[in-house]
Order: sequence, then C-alpha cells, then structure tokens
Amino acid sequence: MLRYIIQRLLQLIPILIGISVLTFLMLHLIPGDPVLIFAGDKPMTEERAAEIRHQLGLDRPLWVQYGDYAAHAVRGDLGRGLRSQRPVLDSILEVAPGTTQLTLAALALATILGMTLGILAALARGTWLDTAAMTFAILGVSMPVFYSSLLMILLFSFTLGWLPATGQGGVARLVMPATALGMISAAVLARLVRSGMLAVLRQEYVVTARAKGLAPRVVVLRHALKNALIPTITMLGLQLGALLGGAVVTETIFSRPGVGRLAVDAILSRDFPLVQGTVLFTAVAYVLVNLLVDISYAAIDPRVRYQ
Amino acid sequence: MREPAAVRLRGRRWPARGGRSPAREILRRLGRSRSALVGGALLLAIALAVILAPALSPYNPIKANQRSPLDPPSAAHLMGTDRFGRDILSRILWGGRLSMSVGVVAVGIAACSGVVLGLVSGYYGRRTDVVIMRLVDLLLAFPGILLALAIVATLGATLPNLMIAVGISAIPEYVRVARGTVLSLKEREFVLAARVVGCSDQTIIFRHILPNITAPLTVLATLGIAAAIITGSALSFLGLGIRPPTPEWGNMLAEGREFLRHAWWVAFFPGLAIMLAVLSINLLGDGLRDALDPRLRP
Amino acid sequence: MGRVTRREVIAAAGAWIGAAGLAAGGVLRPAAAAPGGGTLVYGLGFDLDDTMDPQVTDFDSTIRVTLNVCEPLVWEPTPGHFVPALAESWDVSPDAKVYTFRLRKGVRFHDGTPFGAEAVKFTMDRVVAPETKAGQSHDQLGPYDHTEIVDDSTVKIVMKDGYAPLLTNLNGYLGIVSPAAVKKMGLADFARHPVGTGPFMVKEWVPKDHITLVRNPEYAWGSSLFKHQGPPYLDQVMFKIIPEGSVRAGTLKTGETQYIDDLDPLEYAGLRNDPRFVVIGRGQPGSGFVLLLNVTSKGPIGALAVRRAIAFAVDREGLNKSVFHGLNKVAWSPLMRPTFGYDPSTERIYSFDPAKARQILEEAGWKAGGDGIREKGGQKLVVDFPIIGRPRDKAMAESVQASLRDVGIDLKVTPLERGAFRALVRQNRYDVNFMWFSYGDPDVLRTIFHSANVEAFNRGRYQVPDVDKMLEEAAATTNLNRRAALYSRIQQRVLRDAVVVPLVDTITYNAKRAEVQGDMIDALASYVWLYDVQVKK
Repeated sequence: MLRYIIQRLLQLIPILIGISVLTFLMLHLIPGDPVLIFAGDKPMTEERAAEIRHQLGLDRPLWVQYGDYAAHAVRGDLGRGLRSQRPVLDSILEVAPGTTQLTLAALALATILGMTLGILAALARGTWLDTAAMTFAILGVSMPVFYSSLLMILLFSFTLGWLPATGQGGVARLVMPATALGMISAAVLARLVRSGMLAVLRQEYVVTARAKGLAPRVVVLRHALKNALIPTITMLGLQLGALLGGAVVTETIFSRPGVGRLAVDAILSRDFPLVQGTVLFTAVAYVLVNLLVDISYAAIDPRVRYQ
Repeated sequence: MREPAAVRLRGRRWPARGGRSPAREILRRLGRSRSALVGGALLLAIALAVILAPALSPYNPIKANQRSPLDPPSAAHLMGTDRFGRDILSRILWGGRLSMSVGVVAVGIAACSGVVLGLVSGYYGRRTDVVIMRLVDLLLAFPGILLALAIVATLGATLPNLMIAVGISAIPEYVRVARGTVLSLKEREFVLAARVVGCSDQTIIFRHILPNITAPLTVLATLGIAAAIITGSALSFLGLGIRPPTPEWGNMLAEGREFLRHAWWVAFFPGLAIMLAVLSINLLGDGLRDALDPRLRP
Repeated sequence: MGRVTRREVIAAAGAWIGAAGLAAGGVLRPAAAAPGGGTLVYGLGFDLDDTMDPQVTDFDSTIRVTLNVCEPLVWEPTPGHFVPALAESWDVSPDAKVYTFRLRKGVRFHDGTPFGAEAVKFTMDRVVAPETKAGQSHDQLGPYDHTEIVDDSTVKIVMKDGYAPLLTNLNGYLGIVSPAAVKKMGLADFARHPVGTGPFMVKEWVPKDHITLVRNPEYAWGSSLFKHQGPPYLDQVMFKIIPEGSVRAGTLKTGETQYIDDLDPLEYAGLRNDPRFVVIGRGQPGSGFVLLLNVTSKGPIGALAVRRAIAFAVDREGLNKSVFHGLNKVAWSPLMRPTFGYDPSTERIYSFDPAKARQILEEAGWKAGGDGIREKGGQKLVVDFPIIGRPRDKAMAESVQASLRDVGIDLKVTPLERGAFRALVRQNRYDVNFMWFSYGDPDVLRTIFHSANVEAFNRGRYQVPDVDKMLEEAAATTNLNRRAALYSRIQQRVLRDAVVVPLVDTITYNAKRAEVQGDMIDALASYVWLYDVQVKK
C-alpha cells in the first residue's frame, strides 16, 4: 500500500510542474503586450513601458521568468491582485472555505440522492418507479446548472418565499446551491448505481445465496451494495471535477463568496495575477483531492494497487 | 451469395447474424430504442427550427421596441419580449444557430485532435505515448469549465476562441478512446498481416484501425456535443462568450436572470431551449450506445 | 425527585423577582439605554471600492458607509441649505476664496484623540499630498491652496481661486479623519478601518460581502439637524453588499434587510403599494446620465452633423422605459432639474426625431449601406463606445445602440473593466463615454466642459475659450443672478455644439420597511444619514 502511495506521489510531481508551466504561460499567451496589464490607467511612454517591463522582470528569458514564478509559488507567493493589492493567496484562502463547503454539501447530496434513486430503481426494475427515476436522471444530466439554479430561485425564493436567494451562512442558504450543483452528479450516479446493482443482482453467487435460504434483504445489502460501491467511488472522484466547475457558475448565481466566483470576477476585471493564482490553486487542489480519492479506492480494492 | 462475416483487412469486424449485414443490425436496434427515437425526433425538430431561423423567425431578433419592454407571452409574442422589446422566440431561433454550432465545432476540434493524438500515442508507444499521455493528464488536471475559462481569459472572448476553448477542454476523452482501441488491436492478426504485406504505418492506422473506433467515437461525440453546448452557453452566461445584442442561449439566460422575479419568461425559454437540445442529444446518444454495442451500456 | 418544599418555592420566587428587578432597574437607568437598540441591516446596491478611506475612494457607495464614521464639517439636507456638523459656524469671503470655520469643542475621534483645527488641516492637506493617491476628494476640494490654523477651534481653508462649491463638497469625500490613526495605522490598514468622529465605528469589513459598524458610546455632539445629540439609537449597522436588484428587494421583503438603496425599477410598483414598506424617491442635483461625444475624434463623430444626428436619434423615452422602467425623467440639459441654474429652455433645442436624424446624415453625405449601416467615401459610420462593464451601463449602452442602429449608425459597445477602460480614455481612443455626476452645484459643468479637465472628466475633450471663461466666472462669485445667467448660456452652448447628449435625470429610489424611522437623505440624494434611525417594533 505504501509503495502505491509513494508511486502516485512521484507521478504527481511532473503534473504539478506541468500545471505551473501552463498557468505561467497564460500571461504570455495573451495577445498584446503583458506590460499593459500591469500599467493600470496611467499614460505610458515607451520608456515608461520599458521601465515597468524591467521592474517586473518581463524582459528576461522565459525560462528564467518561469523559475522565478515557480520559486515564489512554492513558497506561497502568488503575487498581488491588481485591484486590491492584496496577496493573491490571501484572497483565495479567504474564500476557499466557502467553495469547500458548497462542494462537499453537493457531493453529500449527490451521493445520498444518487444512491437512493439508483438502488430503488434497480430493486423496482421495470416498474413506474424505475422509469420515473431514470427520467429524472436523464433530465438532471441535461439541465445545465445555471438553469436549474434560476428555476429553483424562481420557485423557492420568489414564488414560495421559503429560501433566501443569495449569500452565505446557514443551512437555508446552502440548500439551493448544493442541490443545483449536486443534481447532475446525482443523476449520473443514479444511472450508474442502478446498472451496477442490476449487473450484480444477476450474478451467480447471489442466486446461490438465495438458494441457501438467506433473507432477500440480507442478500441485497451485503453483496450487491458492496460491489456497486466501487464504481460509485470512482464516479464520485470523476464527478469532483464537474462539481468544481459547476461551483464556478453556482457561486456566481447565488452570490456566494468562493474560489470559482473569485476566478470569474478576476477574469472579467482582467486581474491577471489573480486569474493565474486561482487557476493554479484550483488545479493543484483538484489533483491532490483526486490523489486522495485514488488512494482510498486502492485501499478498498486491492487489485488497483498492482496495475 | 452474401459474404460470411470474417476478419476483414479493411473495416469492421462483426459476427455474422443469420446473414443480416451489420449496418442493418445497428439501425434495427436503433429503431427499437425508445430513447433514440424520441431523442432523434426532438433533435431533428430543434435543428430544423434553428437552421430555418431566417424563414421561421416572426421578428428581427435585434430590432428593439424600447417603449414596450418585458411583455409577457401573448399572441403577438409567443415567448414574450425582453427588456428592449425584442421578440424572444426570434432570438431563440437565431441564437440556437450560435449555441449549437459552438457545440458541434468544439467537438469537431476535440475529436479530430484527440483521435489523432490517441492513435499516434497508442500505435507508436514508448516515449511518444508517455509524452502524449502526460499532456492529457495535464489537461485533466483542470476541472472542465475552468480550463475553458482560462483559455478564453487568455485569448479573449470571441466566437472562434470560445469554440477552441471548449474544444480543448474536451480532448482527453477522445485521446483515451482512440488509444485504448489501438492498444487492443495492435497485436491482432490483421494488423500484423497488414504490416507483413508492407502497408505503411499511416495506412495501418487510418485504414485498418481507425474504422474500429467509429462506434465508440460516434457515441462519445454525440454526448460530447451536448456537453459542449452547455459549456459554451455557460461561458456566455458568465459574460465571457458571445455578447449582446447578438442572441445566444447563454447570454439570453444571463439577461433574463436580472428580471427573474417579474419577467420569468426572459430566462425560462432560453434555458428550456438549452435543456431540450441537450436532452434530445443525450437521448439519441444513449440510444446509439445501446445500438452500436450493448456491452457498452453503463 | 421529591416534592418541592415551600421554602424552595419562596426561594425560587425571590430569585425571579430579584432578576426581574435587576432587569427593570437596567431599563430605568438613563445613561446606557437608548430607545430601540438593535441592528439595522442595509442592503447596498453597489459594492465598495477597494478602500474605505474617504479621501482615497472614488465610489459613492463607500461614502454611504463612511459618512457614518467620518463626519463632515457641515451637513446639507436640501440643496443650498447648510447645517452645522463639526463646524458650528462659518463665513465665506465674497470672492469665494477664504472659508473660515469655527469648530465644535469637546469632540473626540474613535481612538480617543481630540478633534480640532489640526485634524481639519490634516484632512485637507492629505487630499493634495501625492502619497495619499486621493480619489474623488481631490476634485471635490477644488483649487485648494492651504489651511490656516487660527487657533485650536478656528480654521481658514484658503483656495487659489474662487471656489463656490466647496461647502457642498465638504459633505462626503471630505469627512474628517483622525491624524493620529492615519499616522499610526498607515494607509493600507486605515483603508480597511477608517477612524473618525462619527456616531458609528468600523467593526469589520468582509470584502464583497458586508461591513459592520457599531455604536460609538462616547458620541455626544449630534448636529441640531437631528432629533437627539447623544449616542445613536442603533447598536449596529450592517451594510450587506447585494448587487442584484431583485434579490436586494427580496431581502427587504423577507426582513433580512430593513433598508435598501438603489431600488430596482421593477420592484417599485410592488413596494409602493404595500403598506409594510416605504419608497423614498428624491431627484438629484448635478449632471444626469449623459453621453459625451469626443469632438477631437478622427472618426465620423468628429463632425458636428453626426453628433447632431445622434442627439435627434436617441430614444430617451424608450431608454427610460426599458432600462429604468419609466422611473427616471427624460433629460434635455446636462444639468438635472433640481440643480440651481437649470435652464428649462434647453428642452426645446432637440427632440426625438429619427427622420430628422436620417435627413441630417443624408445631407452630410452618409448614404445607407447594404447591412443598414451608412457609409461615405468607403468609410462606415462606426462609433466606438467603451464602457465599464456594469449591468446598468451595459443596458443603457445597448439601448442607445438600438436607437442609433435605426438611423444607420453602428455603435460599437465594448465593455471593459476599470483599468483597461481608463487606459483607453487616457489614450484618446474612444468616440463616446457615459457621464453621470451628481453634485450639489452647477459648477459640475466646469468639471465636464472646461478645457483644463480634458484628462479628467471632460471626456468630450471640449476646448472652447469662451465657455472656459464663463465657467470660471460663474465659479468665482457668490452672486446668484450672475451665476444663473452664465450657466444658462453655457448649457445652451454645449447643447448646440452637440458635445453632450443628455439622456435621463436620475431620481434616487431607496426603500425601507415601515418600522424604520429617523432616516434622512442628503441633498445629493446619495447618502443616507442613519444617526437618528430607530427600528420600531
């Protein structure tokens, strides 16, 4: 197990380097002179431009600039936001808990809802319940998160007045964003769990177990569920990316502070250091979380470790 | 006499089934799949509607009628008007052209580049494989929409850039599928035979191996178009894609958000359009997947 | 558990009575208690700037918060009418160059240091000091020369040139700050936690989310303008930043907020007819939403004919309806109606006449092209319009764009963020700019049309010596008739030169729950004074 973990950690390093290279390159792939981004609103002569370029080190060879960027990044210095002049990492860490809260809530919701629906559909195979659940599933996958969010706000905030439409803090404010975000993953999961369980329910040893006279409930719970769990965990890991991406839109619609919204605002206001910082941070976090998921997956299913 | 199914040097390998040709078999299965029929019909309707927008659209989509904004749905305006008095139905028809073409072109870009990369990576193996797969892992390190956002932020928010951004973020899956297929077929007899005969690498890749990808590729591309439509309209919704007054489903939804409480129709219909388009494609994709290879069912 | 004994009952009763007595005694004690108490949650429609330092910020929304923290020398409840705040009385020299203020005694800053002439001098001086990087306050202070300390409670603010608008400008960006605090905290920290003499103190600021102010218990110098003079009734004020109009109004309805500003026009009808709420509408003085047309542009808009065509083509009524739901007023003058010096005859110079606009363009040689856009000599009639990408600005720009398209003008709207926008403006790479300048005095016309301000708010880049002279003369005298006559001529001139296309006069709408009482709006209809506010049960 330990060998597996170390192996994965080593594989991580080139990816982290790659991520940092890509985010570093963002600044230089912009059409036009990067100096203009930092110039702000002062009129600029050529000498002033050259001065700023020198000050920021933009006239050095690219790989030197990258080295500088990476060295600072590793220490946690991602530069300063252009508008606020605050260290980028501070701005990110300030809002990161919000995104974490939202993503975890959505994940929990997706898991509970998805598994329940999937199990019910599998057990009630062929009945109206099955059809209903699968219809919900395909609708859920087809409805973009920004549409379901707006519909929910329209229904639950404006028409019924049950839930507050914006902001952060308290369960009431978390319900709609988490539901909107988690719904898609729930739908995907439901379909997966259903087919996973159906496949297992047909397998021989289950038939054998029934033949031995064990109660049906025991059969289901012990065998089918456990084996349906593995693809579920895989799927959840994959859904994490979708959730993080969806968080970007959800945070914007519900006016919740979060890393996604920070990134969007930064892009809209051309605050490049902040854009780079949020992209880097999110990618690194995503990769690390995926690693954790993979490791726990390996812990459950030993076959994975020897691939 | 009908040719018995056998390994062919070119194209598909399908087991014989009482003499029916494989293509007919697929179509038969497709015809039996409820989701494919419903999805296909719906998609056809939507596609026709947006293609024929110039003919079907009751009003000029960008002509404003500012003195009577935000009219609810009525006989004159079936889906109501937006804040500048523009007819929403017309804007949805015209906007669909952009929204859907972003999806198609983006997937085109992703599929072409992805398949080529995957084929090359799988066939040549070793260092090429390692390099390409590392790049793919790198792309996968960024959550989907974030990658598209970052690309649009860097290159600027124009229609071509939008297509490129959405396309690039979708490449990894195509690489994987292509590579997987190559790997599984590389050591088969028909490939070895082709090499013995003297076919060039290119010929082998493109004429012998590639056709076997068509099945999973079709499914992937179909479902991919749906996802690309969503990502593209999400970017426009956030203000990073197509901008008003040019109509597009995502930016119409953004405009509608402001009036959600009092003029729900401004956001409701564009969102519904996105949902129906995506739903139809998903249904069709599911049906295709079942028809092409029932073993692929999740 | 056994039966309760009589003794225990008496003991318990005694305890309850004692507790009640303590509570009652607490209520009856005069000093600490104030009627009401509690927290007022205020829904802000605009986010703050990145600083809360009143002299550094550029945003009115920031001042809405800081005016409760850093008090001014005078209050202006209605245009032209001034009431003592930190200054008890004052004189203005006839040439409007020397302002003498006699200051209130016994006032302290939140950090305990005493308020006096030194603090006033410090505040004014820092506006012109380069390291402060002053924002709007710099323009508002005008041609400031220096401040003279006559004695600890008398101060003379001396201008380089006559400057009539100084009094009206003191009420906002020139709120007095504590010199000790600025020196001790440094600019960066002070920006997050300003220190003044106000009835409220800054408790915390969570950017993009909210600002919390708490009562200043030492406050004892309320102006005669207000109903009381001691500490404020409210314990706390929380300013929540809620940029979406319908959401903000929603919070008012649920009670999450008790006061909101910048009322969304769509919410107006619903709230106005509901007895649980009160809508407060107030016309503003100054310059309303206008288009400034760059007369130095090398594009088509440099020609007077094109500019005049635009003035006839814009559907102001339509813009008012689609963007503001009919709640503002169509404007024909760069001065808004409540402003002193407004000339009603300007309403007859232009009208909404697209046919006339087309005729003017035809006569100037602009013929209709294939796609509906006019062309002349191979050049298309394109006008560049960069804007700051705020929702309202985008909506107004789109409305104007639609109007102009109807007569064959292609208005290219480019939403940008602040830095990029300013860069474009400085480099003179634009044809049209929005302007909106609520201001207490018609001297706002000098800010917008005087040649000296070409790098600032004179986005039309208008440089006409005759007009310059008239503007200067009007600013340097306190003779009302003379001023009115001059401003009338100025308005007519800038309209005929079509450097400005007025759109709408802004009417500020705020809304509150009926239980909120004691709130006041200033003459600019921009700042809400919360000192007297109580929330009745």
